Amino acid sequence: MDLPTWLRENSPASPATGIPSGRPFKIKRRSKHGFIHKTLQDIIQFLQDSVFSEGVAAQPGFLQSLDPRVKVAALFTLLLSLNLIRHLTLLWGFYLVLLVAASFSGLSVRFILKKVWLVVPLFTGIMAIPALFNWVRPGDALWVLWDIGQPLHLGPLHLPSTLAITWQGLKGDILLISRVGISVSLAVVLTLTTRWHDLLRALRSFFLPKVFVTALEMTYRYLFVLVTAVEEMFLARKARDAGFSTTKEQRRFIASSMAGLFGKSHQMSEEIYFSMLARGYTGEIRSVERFHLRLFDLFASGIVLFSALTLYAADKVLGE
Amino acid sequence: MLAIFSEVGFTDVVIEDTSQYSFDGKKIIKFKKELFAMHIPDGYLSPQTDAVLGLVSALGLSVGARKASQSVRAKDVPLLAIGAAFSFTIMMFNVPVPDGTTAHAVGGSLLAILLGPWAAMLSISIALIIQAVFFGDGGILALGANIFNMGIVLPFISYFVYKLVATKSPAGSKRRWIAAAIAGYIGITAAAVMAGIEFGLQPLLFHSVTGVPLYCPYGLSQAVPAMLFAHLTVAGPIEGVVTVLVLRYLQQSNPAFLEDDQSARDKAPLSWKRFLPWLAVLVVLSPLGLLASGTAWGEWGGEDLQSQLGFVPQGLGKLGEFWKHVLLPDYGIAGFDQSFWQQALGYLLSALLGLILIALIAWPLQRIWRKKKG
Repeated sequence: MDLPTWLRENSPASPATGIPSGRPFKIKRRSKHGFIHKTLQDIIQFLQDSVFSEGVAAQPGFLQSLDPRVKVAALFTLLLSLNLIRHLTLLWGFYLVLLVAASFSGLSVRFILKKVWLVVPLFTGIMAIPALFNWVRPGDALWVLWDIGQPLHLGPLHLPSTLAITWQGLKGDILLISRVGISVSLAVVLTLTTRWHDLLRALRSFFLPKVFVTALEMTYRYLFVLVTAVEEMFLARKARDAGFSTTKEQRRFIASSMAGLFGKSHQMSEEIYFSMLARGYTGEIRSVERFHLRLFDLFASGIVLFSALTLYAADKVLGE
Repeated sequence: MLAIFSEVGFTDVVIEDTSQYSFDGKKIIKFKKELFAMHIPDGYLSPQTDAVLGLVSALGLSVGARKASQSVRAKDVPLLAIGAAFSFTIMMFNVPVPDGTTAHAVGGSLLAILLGPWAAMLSISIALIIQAVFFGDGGILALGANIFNMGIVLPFISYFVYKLVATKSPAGSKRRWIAAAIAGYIGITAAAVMAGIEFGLQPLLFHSVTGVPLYCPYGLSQAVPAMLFAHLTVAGPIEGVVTVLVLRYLQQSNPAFLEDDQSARDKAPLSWKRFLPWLAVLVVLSPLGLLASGTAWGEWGGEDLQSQLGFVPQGLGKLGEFWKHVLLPDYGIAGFDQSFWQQALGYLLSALLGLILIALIAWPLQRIWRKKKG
């Protein structure tokens, strides 16, 4: 699913884009990615992601064949273990096993690597850069970058005389990035191989209140209705959009479409309620439980549980 | 550092990876990943912090769910579901910002004003769960923290501020939308400060003996001002403006939404006594969870275990011996071989390998069996 080509092209140069202001990049960005275009792209992305995910989950494979409840429990246990341990060898060792399991389930390893490692270093990595330096976080110098000669005093700030990358900072940042990336990978692999509806159903077996899970399931269903409504609003606007509109006007459009969407949602919830009433809804929620645990699922749960405990124990054995 | 915080990760950064990946040769998919304002991923907070905030959020949600199911109007379930879908959808809107780029609003203040804080809390939480589980926006262990910041602190503070400023002014009045602006601005800033505090506690509580930070590396004096700065200047105004604009539109087009009928729902009878024991547990647990350092928990040696349990399981010792001599001869390091964790590791590894072996034997057998049957 994609936008038709005539919609992906932008309106002819508007007065604002012709002004040479010394910020060509910004202007180019504005003309290339207007808020309408961006929102439409987000919507298409959302739809593509969900269709893609259902497609992967419907394939036959090792992880796909597991009971969703086992997968939810596995996700939780393994994440807990991964976030408690501190040795990079264990973290990356687990990651290797995860990739093997993913490739046995028909997922492309390249795809998982790209999806996670093109993104995590850019966000977490950049956010973590300042922590490398001893001016931000004191530590043992690993590499002195700049020697001023004397300690620096800027008002209330007292900085040491050398700017250096610290050993602690480097190690901490590598640990943080590894942890974030591996946690995300685990979640991606387990959610891609489970049908969303099954995943939501599985949540019912855990600590969540019934009202909450029912609302969650309904949300998933009507999410697509609302998202499609927004897509229509923005597509209509895009089709009528010509030339330049001010930011103020654009924001007013956003506000009116949000308010319109709220009205639509409100009306829809009333209608859904009445149609539920018509079908005999009394406020009590009954569900059809159609999962059944096989021996294989029990084995898998055992393996997951023991892997998590083993990781934790190994981390303790390796010490600080 | 402030600049980096405000530019990356915490306000609005959109990165587009336009390279195309093919999957199975069937589908060409474009991937684009976004980080919303405050969706904390896994790895930034320690599981201990996640657990405490998860408990607080779970308590909040169960009070909310009880309120929803107890109230006379059973239509709360569809309302919550559609509210959550609405909340999810408005986070997808790209709001134009004066410098030519776009940003996302959370919309939590708007929901709190329109639906009341309880319904807003449940709706935002559901949206956050869907984002975390299906789209990887925010961590799964960190869901408790994210729900606490954006699903509890944000709507309740916003609603409180809105009510405080708006008082009993008529639905179409100027006072209402001024109240909405302040509510949006303060609500999101309060949520950001909470996130900053959670980040800032990490290096204080969780670091290795050598001083390596195990989770978020920035302390309170760095994380809180950075989050505050980014949200006071960028995300706060966006949230405020979006809240006001939508509210003003509704004042003109559909003022019925702004009448105070939802306050009746919030006054539905609720027995707080039912939650008192949980609150007590929380009160006891909170300092423990926050103060317990990463190294202290579970760091019992064999002797500690003996004094706590009264014995060390015999099997553990035997298996430990077995592993030490048969497969892992290097384990004979002085002062290392009596450790509880070493024995536990031996035991766990043997159990794990056993399970994998059984699975490896049982799986083909089962297949053959099925084929014969079929």
